[in-house]
Amino acid sequence: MADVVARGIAVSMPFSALFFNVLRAFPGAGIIHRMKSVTVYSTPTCVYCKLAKDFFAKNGVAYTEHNVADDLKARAEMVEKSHQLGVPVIDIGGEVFVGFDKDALSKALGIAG
Amino acid sequence: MYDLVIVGGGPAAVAAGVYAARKKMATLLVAEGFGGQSIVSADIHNWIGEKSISGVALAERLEAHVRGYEPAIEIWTDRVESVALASVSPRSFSVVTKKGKTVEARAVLIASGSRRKRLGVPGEDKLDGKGVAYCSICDAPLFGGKDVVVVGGGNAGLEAVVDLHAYAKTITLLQRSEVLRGDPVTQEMIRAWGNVHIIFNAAIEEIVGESFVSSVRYKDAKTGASNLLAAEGVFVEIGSMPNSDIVKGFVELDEIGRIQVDPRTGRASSLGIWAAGDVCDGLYQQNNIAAGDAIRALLNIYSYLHSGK
Repeated sequence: MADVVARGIAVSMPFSALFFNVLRAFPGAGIIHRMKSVTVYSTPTCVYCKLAKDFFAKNGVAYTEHNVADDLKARAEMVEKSHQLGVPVIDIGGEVFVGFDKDALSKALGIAG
Repeated sequence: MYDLVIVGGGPAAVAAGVYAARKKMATLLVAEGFGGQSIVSADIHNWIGEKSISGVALAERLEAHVRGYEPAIEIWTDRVESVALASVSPRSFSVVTKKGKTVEARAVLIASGSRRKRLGVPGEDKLDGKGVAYCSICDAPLFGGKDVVVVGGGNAGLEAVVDLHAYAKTITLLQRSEVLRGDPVTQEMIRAWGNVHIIFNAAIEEIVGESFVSSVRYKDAKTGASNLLAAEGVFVEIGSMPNSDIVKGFVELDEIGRIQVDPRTGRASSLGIWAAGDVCDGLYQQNNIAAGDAIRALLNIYSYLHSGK
């Protein structure tokens, strides 16, 4: 878990919120999975969401997707995590990314991209 | 030593890449991604040969077309940081990338395009992503039932109105001048919609909001009156700025930073450097024009490399 915290996150967020997200991402009391859990908050028309999902598919990364155009609960969760409304928001094991930055996502996942 | 380095991944760069590969020039294309700025278009109706194609689909086709020539053409997913003269005779250039690679080439084609212009008003940075949006196709669904503002009456602004129409309660289009510049076909369509209001001569002064956008303040350029418009979203579509920093101080740029080129050849002011597409000082920013201009430049590069002229 310390590893995740030390890497920091892409957007400013209160420490408590970060800790909460890390706990939620790693419910197994600090067990670091080889593959981090990945959540994508998207809209059906979002181009960069599609590029991000294509990137995950190409690299064999499993992810959970929430359509925030319809799912208001997920939208609130996305705003809480990222403090903003733009999509995509991508949560990789507690690290929150706004937008599609292939290099940053590769680094967070520990893959070559 | 490459014959040619092509900088960019939009229609100009891809068109030049295809021609360069077919001419068996030792070419490296460096792009962060493919498709150019149109990638965020929901529907492109004027890419010749396609009645209708989405920006993503066009990007995929462009990429597939040029990748069809690998390994004759080398393609790196990277970003060019600088271009500099490496040797005067024989003339060559060194190209440095973000990932720390340095390569040499006899000619360089800059097709790095342009990026979104920002309003530069108070509140824009603070509320970026918090109601201030630059990708209408991406973010429009998040503004369902809300009052939104679109800034800019060019094609991009009109497209943003179209993207938002399916979701927003009302859309107010703020245009700085007295006329819309976008295609009349789209103008007629949006003017017919009951929830679209167009305000002319409107200069944005401030985007107002605490944690999210609540309103927009604009000045009526005719009366001088300052008006506050309640809105939860502001979509900024006011044009673009050239990505010419990589050759700044090295080739001549115009007053807004676009690379000055000879329209007959695409040559920039420094021998061995060409430019094409939206990074240049051409009159029109269009995918088809960018592709054509790049092909003209490429053919001129070919004759330069083979005959020195």
